[in-house]
Amino acid sequence: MEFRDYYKVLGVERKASDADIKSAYRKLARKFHPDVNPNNKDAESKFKEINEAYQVISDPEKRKKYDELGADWEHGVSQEEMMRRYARQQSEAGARGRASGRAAGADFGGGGGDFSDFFSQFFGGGGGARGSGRGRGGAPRGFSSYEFGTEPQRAPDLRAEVEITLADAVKGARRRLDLVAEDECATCGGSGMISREEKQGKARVIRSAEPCPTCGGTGVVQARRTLEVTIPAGVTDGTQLRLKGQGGRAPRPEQNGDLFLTIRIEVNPVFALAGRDLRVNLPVWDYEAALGAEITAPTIDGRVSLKIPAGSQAGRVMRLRGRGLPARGKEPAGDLLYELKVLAPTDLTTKERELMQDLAESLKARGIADPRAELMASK
Amino acid sequence: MARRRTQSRSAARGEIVLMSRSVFCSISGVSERELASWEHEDLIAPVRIEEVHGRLEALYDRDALRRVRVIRTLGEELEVNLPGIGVILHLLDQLGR
Repeated sequence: MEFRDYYKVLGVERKASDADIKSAYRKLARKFHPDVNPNNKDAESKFKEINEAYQVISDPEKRKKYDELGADWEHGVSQEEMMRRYARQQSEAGARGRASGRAAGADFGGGGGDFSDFFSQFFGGGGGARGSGRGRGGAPRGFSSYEFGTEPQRAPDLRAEVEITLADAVKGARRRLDLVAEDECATCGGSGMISREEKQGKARVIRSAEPCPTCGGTGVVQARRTLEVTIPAGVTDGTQLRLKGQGGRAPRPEQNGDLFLTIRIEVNPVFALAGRDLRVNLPVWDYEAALGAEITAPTIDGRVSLKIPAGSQAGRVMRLRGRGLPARGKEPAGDLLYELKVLAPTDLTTKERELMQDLAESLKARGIADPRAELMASK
Repeated sequence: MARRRTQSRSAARGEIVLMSRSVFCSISGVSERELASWEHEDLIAPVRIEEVHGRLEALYDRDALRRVRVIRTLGEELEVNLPGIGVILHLLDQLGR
C-alpha cells in the first residue's frame, strides 16, 4: 500500500491548527462531493481520500500517531499482527532464557533509579546519573515525575580566580587565562554514548548504543582552554565577573555554563586598598611639617605635587578626590589618601645639633605647651 | 545506516526518537528479563515492531521510558506488586487522556 500524506491531501501544513484543518476539509469536501460531481470516479476517490485524511488528522490521538509513525500508520493492522508475533517471540525467548538462566541487558551507567545522560540528550530532563559535580540533578522519582521535564540541560558553571595589580584595578587590564575545565566530550556530544542510528521519516531510531571510547562513557573530558579576559577598571578585591557562556561546554552554545571570575588584587608595597580608597603613608621631615612645603608624592600612575600646610601634624590625612579606584556601576570613585608620617632627622651634624638645641631653648623660653599634658590630665 | 554522534538537538526539534530493545534496556537500566515480565503483564509495550533481518525488533519511545520510571517507583519504593502496578498505570493512563 502506498503511503499517503494526509496533510498534502487536505492541502494544509503539518503544523496546521484544528480550525485550519476543518476549514480545508470542508472546502475540499464541498468541491469533490459525489452530489456535486455525479458519475465522476476521480472526484469520488478524491472525496474518499479527503475523508480518510480528515478522520486521521482531525483526531488528536490518531494525528499524533500518524505524525510519529508516518507511513506505518497505514500498516496499523499489520502492526497489530507484528505485536502478536513479537509477543510469541518474546515468550519463546523468555522460556529459553529461564531454562538457561540467562541474564540479559548491559548497563551503561543509567541503571538503578534514574536514566542516563544519554536519555536526556534525546528527551531533556530526567538525567542525573552523572551527579552533582556536573550540575545536572535528576528529576525526583515518583508521581511528580510522571511527566518528564523538557527543559534543556545547562552545562555547569565554572569558577576561577585571577590576580591583578592595583594599577590594573585602577586602569583596567586584559589577562590571558589558562583554564583546565571539564568540557563536553566532542566525540559523543556529552551523552557518553555513541549510537548507531537511522532516520525514518520524522523518527530517529537508535539501533544500538555503546559507551563513548573518548570519554569512557562519562560524557566529559578535561580540556585546556585559553581565554582572553578584559578586566574593567574599578574592580576591587573579591569582585566577581561573570563571563557568559564561558563555563562548562554543552552541545548547544546557549546551554553553556558561565565562568565566574573572582578578582584578587596583589598587595601593593606603597598603596593600601581601603574600600575604594587608596591610602599611602607619606613621610615628611619635621621641618616640612612645621614650616609647610611643596613636595612630590606618588600616585598609582605617576606623581603629584602636594602642598603640606605649615604646622601639619603626624597622622594628618590629605585627600585627592576621585584618585582612588574609578567609579564602576553604582560604586562611586574612591579617593587617594595621604597620611602624613612626620620624621625627625637622625644623623645631625654638630652645627645642626646646635641649631636644633637653640630652637628647643627658644620654644621652651616662650612657654610652648607640653604635648603630653593632655595624657597626664586624663590619667 | 550511518554511525554518527548522538545529538541533543532532537528534543528541541521535536524529533521522535525510537530505540531498540537493547538500547532501551541500557538507558532505563532495566534487564531484558525484567522488561519481558513487564510486557507479559501488559505494563509496558513497544510502540512499533519491525522486521530486521528476519527477526522482529521492538522499538520503544519516550513514553515507555516514562513508564519505566513509574513502574520502578511503584514496585521498588512503594512495594506495589505487578498486577497492582498495572491497575495504577491504567488509572494514570485514564487520567492522562
